[in-house]
Amino acid sequence: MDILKICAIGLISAIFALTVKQYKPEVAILISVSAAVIILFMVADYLVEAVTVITQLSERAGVDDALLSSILKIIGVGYLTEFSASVCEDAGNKSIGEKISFAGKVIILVVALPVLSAVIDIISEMLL
Amino acid sequence: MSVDVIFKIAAIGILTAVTGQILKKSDRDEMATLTTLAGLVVVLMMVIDMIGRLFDTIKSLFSLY
Repeated sequence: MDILKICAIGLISAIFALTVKQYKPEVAILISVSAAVIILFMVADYLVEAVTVITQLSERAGVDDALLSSILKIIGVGYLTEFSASVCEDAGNKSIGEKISFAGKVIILVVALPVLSAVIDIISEMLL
Repeated sequence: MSVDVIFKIAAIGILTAVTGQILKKSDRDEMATLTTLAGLVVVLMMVIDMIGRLFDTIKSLFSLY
């Protein structure tokens, strides 16, 4: 199972980051960033599987493409902003991390607006 | 994307720290700062390359263009 490898990698790199922290704090942060990247890469192929299944289901259910692509975009933006915000907080820069997550929220809002207007159009058609 | 990258980065970090100490002891302080900087740049290049690859895969996965 991959999860065992992921947990082992996380623990080992946490310990390495701690040992190197006393000599070189910046290299310790780079170790934790590289561990995060490796773990995300191990999860990536599961993610590809999930995304393909979601796209197939949505095609069968007749959901139009714009809606699905905006949903995937929102997930991707959330994924990236969470990753970089946590790295920034790890490096001790809480304010930059919060700015990144705030920017991510704004971008997600902008991507979600057309979906919102589509829903409202459908509702108004039904009511009128 | 295997685990040995983490060990390489840790090794480089410790190596630069040790060489910095040695150079400081033999009163060559400017060399010490240079070696620490060089080690940091090498590690930074490796990590930036990994992060770039990760962002490319996520971009292609979620079609985030």
